Amino acid sequence: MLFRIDPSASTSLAQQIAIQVRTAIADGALSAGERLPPARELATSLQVNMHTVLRAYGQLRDEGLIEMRPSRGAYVKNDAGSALVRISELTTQLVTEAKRMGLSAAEVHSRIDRLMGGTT
Amino acid sequence: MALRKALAVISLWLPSAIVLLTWFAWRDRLPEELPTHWSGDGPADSSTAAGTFWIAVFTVTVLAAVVGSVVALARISGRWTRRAIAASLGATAAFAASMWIGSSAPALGVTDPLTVHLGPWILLALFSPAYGLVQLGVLPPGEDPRVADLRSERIAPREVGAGQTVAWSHNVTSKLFVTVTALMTALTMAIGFTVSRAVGGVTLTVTLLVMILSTLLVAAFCGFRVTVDWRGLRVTSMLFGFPLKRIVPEQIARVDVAMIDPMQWGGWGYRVMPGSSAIVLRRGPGLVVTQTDSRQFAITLDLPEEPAAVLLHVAQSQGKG
Repeated sequence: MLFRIDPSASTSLAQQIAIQVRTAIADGALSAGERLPPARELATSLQVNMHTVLRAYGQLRDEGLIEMRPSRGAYVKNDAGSALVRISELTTQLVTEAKRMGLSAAEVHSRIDRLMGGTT
Repeated sequence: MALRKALAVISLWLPSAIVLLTWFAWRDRLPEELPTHWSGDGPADSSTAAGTFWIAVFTVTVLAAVVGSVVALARISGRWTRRAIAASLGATAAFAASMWIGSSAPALGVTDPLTVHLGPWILLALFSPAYGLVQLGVLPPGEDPRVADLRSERIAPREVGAGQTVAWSHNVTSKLFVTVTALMTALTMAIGFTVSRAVGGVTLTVTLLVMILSTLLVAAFCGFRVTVDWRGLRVTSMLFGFPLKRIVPEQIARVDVAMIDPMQWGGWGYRVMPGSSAIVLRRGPGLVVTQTDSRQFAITLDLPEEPAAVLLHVAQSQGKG
């Protein structure tokens, strides 16, 4: 897959990497079970700090898109399809918007629970 | 050129064909043992079992023909290299066949091999190496080590904004090599468990060591990571992590997307030939990099356009490409 980063962009470098991996999973450029480039290698390739790549990978892991196996690297999860990517994107959008409006995590949770038919 | 190569291949297999045909034609009229050694003008002074002798001769002629055919068909540079190798193999096959004819023809219908005189058949063995002249004359001289007919598509370098960094990374796995590795592992284990009782000690250790090393060598080609970034092109073994190929931007003269024909690049796997090297996992599209010293490197990839465009960008912005 192709990685392209722009240090002058408003989004952080880690975000840019995460977005590109997410997009690659969504359009099938990265398939389930495929191994992502090791963080150190990708960092050297993109001339960024290794922790930047690890932060991007960490975010993708938290979104349930990839799994990180100790000493074996990062892999695209088997159930990481385009639907999950879309959910992940919308969740990120929701959280950003909620933070901007000053909503607390509990308030966001309760709204989601209500919509999903749960109790508040 | 193809006709000359085909004729050379036919000439290389002719000794094997003669040995095979004469065996079927003569075997009922041959004694159990064939005369194999003569001293002076007298009759033969030693003999060998006909079947064993035939198998030995046939194996030599077939091996020489197989290797000779590969050499005749391969893309080999140098004016004389290919012709000389093929000629020496042709001479070897002809000499082995002459041994068979020289021993069996005078023994037809004879019961005691030690009464057979060699007679004029010795001339056949003496002149058989001249058979190499056939391959020498028929084969065309070596080709330009570069693959001229790449049937390539024109690729434009990837457009990258000022300050942006691009990198392309892709994992390539080969089902063929994974299968071969699995088979070799099973074979190594089978040898380890079953043969260890029959032959012990040094023979077993050496056999197992060779098998394990061969398996690891094949395993190294089960998966690669191909990376294109500011450092150029890198191919790394996924299993062992060591780089198999590295081409820095300054070395890149041209980047092509082409159909990779294994025959053109010397076969499957990691092929190294004079003037070129290639990682060929199948017949199909691939990336071909021509270096500033005219050497070429090819690798089969499903979608080679993207890495080619990135590599062109890197070569043009950093190297001479």
